[in-house]
Amino acid sequence: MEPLLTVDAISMIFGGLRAVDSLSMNVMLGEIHSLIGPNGAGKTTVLNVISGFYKPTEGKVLFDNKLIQGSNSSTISRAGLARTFQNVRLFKELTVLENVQIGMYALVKEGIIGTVFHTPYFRKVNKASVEECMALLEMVGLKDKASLRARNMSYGQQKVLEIARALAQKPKLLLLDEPAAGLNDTETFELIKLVRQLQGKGITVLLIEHNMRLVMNLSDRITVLNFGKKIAEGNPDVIQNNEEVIQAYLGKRRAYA
Amino acid sequence: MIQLLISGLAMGSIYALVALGIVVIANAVNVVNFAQGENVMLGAYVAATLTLTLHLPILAAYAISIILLALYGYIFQKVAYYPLRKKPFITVVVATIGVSMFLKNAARIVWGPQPIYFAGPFGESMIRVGGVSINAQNILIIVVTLALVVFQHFFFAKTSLGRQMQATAQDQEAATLMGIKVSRMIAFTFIYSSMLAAAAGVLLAPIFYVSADMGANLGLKAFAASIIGGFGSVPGAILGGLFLGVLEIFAAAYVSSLYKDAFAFIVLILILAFMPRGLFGEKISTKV
Repeated sequence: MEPLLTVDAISMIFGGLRAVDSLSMNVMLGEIHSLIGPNGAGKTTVLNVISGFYKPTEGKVLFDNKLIQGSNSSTISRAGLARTFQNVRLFKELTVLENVQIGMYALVKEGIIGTVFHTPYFRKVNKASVEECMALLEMVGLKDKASLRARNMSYGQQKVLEIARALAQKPKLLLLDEPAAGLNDTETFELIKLVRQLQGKGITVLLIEHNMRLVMNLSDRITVLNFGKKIAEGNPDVIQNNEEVIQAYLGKRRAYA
Repeated sequence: MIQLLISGLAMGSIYALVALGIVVIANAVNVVNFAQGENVMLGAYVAATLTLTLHLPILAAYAISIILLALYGYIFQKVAYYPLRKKPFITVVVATIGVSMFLKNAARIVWGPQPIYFAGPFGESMIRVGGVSINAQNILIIVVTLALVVFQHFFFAKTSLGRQMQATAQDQEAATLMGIKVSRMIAFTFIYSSMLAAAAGVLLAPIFYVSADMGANLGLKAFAASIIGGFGSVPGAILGGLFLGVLEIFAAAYVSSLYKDAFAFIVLILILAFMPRGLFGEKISTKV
């Protein structure tokens, strides 16, 4: 297996705080990789560095064999990296379908003339993209909600809509920031199925999550952060039995999955 | 009575166009553009110069004026917005006030202090409908404004460019992550807003002399109209503009034309005091 994403000794310093301290990790092509750790360990900071919101103070990020650290987020997203947010950030005044379409726009080259005057070429491309978006909505179970405004969706629906929007970008790597937070048990179960389905389609997933049942159930590999440093890495069995991880984060021994 | 209503609606349409230009930018980048009135003046002067000095056909002059203002909108955001985009709200607002003063004084130098009369495509002709004669220009203003409003609705709701601009207005960071070129969308928003200003300028010119001072009052009234309608709301800006236009004309006709402007601002104060969300702010809060 080859790495799709390589994080090479990145540090992120905010004022005097080392939020991330020379972290290195590889996300392999096709795997579901989780990043876990206590609150404030620097997980979301890592995601923000990868997706281009922050330029790391030190270190390199390679995606698909290209250096991306410090690149503009929109360039990174066009390279095939999509993400969701810990606090849902949909375009709330647009409809469910439009939110997903937005994810696809960067891929569709239709030109200004086409978008304003609806040339036959535009109509053809547009029809195909609407069908693709509807297929994505069906996959996350929101097909019948397509024409409703995003802000009228329940929290759980908004979370999966965000995933559908990210998928519309046809990503190679999908970053999910706490996708299960705020979901009930049924929704969490559906989410596990969905992420497995994505892996089946060849999408690599990097996941931040506090729901250990989901993490242990889904992950091929897990990286554990504490105070910005990597304290352990390995498959779920290794992580669950690592003394340092248990002390810092997992607490008393118990079986997940 | 009908004549008054029509001229009120015509003036209101102009306020609505200017208010739309202000609201579209406010929603996209959270800046109140106090130069919008001067942008209208610029559009009117450009069209007047093209017709009166260069003797171009009037419709060609309109089109060129709108195109030049589009270019101006791009430069405006590059100069007055882009370098300040990370600064606090008030910094950018002051920059737009600076641009408005610059434009007003530059216009005075270039075109002189004398107001210019610039007739519309119909000159002074009147349309007679059932014993009432109506200024043809007023009808033109109302019709064109209506068409622009329909176009804008279609543009933002149905085209991918419009939706990307909406997405940018709603959440810039998330839009960036969708691969949307946010700074380009913001530039488009300023360009669109300046084109609206040019349209308002050429429409207004025949019923208002073209002068360096025409923009100041207009920008302020349009801002008031957008607040009366509910700031940030597109339907609110349109309805607020129409309401203000009609109110002014009736106040001028039945009370006193001297206090015409005062009425606009009295209503603004009353709305701010008793309905701070504006007349239509709560119910229809669609952005862009």
